[in-house]
Amino acid sequence: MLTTDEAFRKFKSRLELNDKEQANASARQNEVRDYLDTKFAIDNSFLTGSYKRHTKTKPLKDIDIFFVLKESERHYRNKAPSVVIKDFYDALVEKYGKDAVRKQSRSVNVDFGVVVDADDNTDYRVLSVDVVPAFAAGDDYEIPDTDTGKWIKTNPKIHADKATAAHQAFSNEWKGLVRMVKYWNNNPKHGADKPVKPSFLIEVMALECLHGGWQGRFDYELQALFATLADRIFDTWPDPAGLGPPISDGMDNARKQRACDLLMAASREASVAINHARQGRNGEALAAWRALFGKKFPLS
Amino acid sequence: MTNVAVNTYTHSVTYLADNILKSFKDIIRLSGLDPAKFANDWESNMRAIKTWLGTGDLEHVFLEVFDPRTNVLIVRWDIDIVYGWSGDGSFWTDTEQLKYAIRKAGVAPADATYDILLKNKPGRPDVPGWGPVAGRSTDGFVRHSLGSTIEHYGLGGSAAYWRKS
Repeated sequence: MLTTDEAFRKFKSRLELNDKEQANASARQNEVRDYLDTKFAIDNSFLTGSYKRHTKTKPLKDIDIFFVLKESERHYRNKAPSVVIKDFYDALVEKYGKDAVRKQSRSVNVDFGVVVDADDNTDYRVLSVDVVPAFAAGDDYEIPDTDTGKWIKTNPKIHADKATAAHQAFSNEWKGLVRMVKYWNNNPKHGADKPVKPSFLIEVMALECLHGGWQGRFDYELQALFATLADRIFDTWPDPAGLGPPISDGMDNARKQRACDLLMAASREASVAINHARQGRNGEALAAWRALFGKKFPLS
Repeated sequence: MTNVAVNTYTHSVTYLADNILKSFKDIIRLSGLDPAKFANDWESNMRAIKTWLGTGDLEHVFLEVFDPRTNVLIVRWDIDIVYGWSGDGSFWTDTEQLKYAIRKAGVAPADATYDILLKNKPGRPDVPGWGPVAGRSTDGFVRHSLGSTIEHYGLGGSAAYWRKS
């Protein structure tokens, strides 16, 4: 039977991006790009966000693609963010159909209709992408935010650099731990609303909450991370790039309280799993971790 | 039936109080601090913790490690009391978890000293030798919670430490 450490290593590996998934993400980017080139003047496009930072969890969905518009499209920048979002939405509906396309506050989501099997596998295909219209602004980018009615600055490179630095400072275990908590956050047992929204907030909090270096234990790191996230979910968490609005603005107080309760319950479940292992009940320990995280946590 | 319930809770109070103090002893020793002062105060600390756990007034136990010259906090360890956790009747004190976190918090400076503070709900009964004091400021510090450290039939303690941000 697997030890707890072996199970976590296997779990971590199951949540990592593999070559087939990267190839599929790239193909989807090109497919959407080839189509949008017929509708808008696009300077360049690139895969970004948590996918690019390797902090995206499985199944792979909502992969961000920035579409940097040419100067000839600059007129959008002088209009309300909802205008460019609507035009991208209308264009994408023409190709993918109304049921597959959804407006979001800063992007347009395109769902490819991929079915997730009982073990959370997708045959290495991505479920959906988030199409993000953007303009270059020096070294940064400006993207529309329909929630605030403003164009906001962002810089994916700064986010990526901070994640890389945190990962290295944590003996290259930081991204794996973040993916595990994001996988917990996506678990359907929580209902339609994820506990933490956006899931990027988990990553931002982990920049501070995973501290003191990797000391070799997945179980203790996760027990403490869940507890600390619960403890600090009511804090204000600024954009790590120092450009956009606080990442914690995505939840109101009621939602933060729900996240706090669920994160605390997760830490508590971890404590029970740890105690099973301490008492030599390894099978029960693995079952408890699986109940906490979901189907990709291995039992054997 | 009533007697059984009372006796069980009394047992939990004794287990928790004893293991809170043992946990702080571990933290003091492994952080490189002199445990003599803590050992001298053991009886008084035990009496206060047991009394206020028994009445349900105890909320937190703090170990403030500070610089004796400036009275400024260096690191603080908390045990938050949790009443009425639902559980399967198991009990534990996870000393390995504490050791794991102490390695992260680091060793205290050689000349650092410490105080034990108890935070209660308003209106708690008096315990001889104990009176109101203000804790040292945690401004500029961030808190790391560890999760459940001690538990006995639903009465529990969760440890945390504060570090300079």
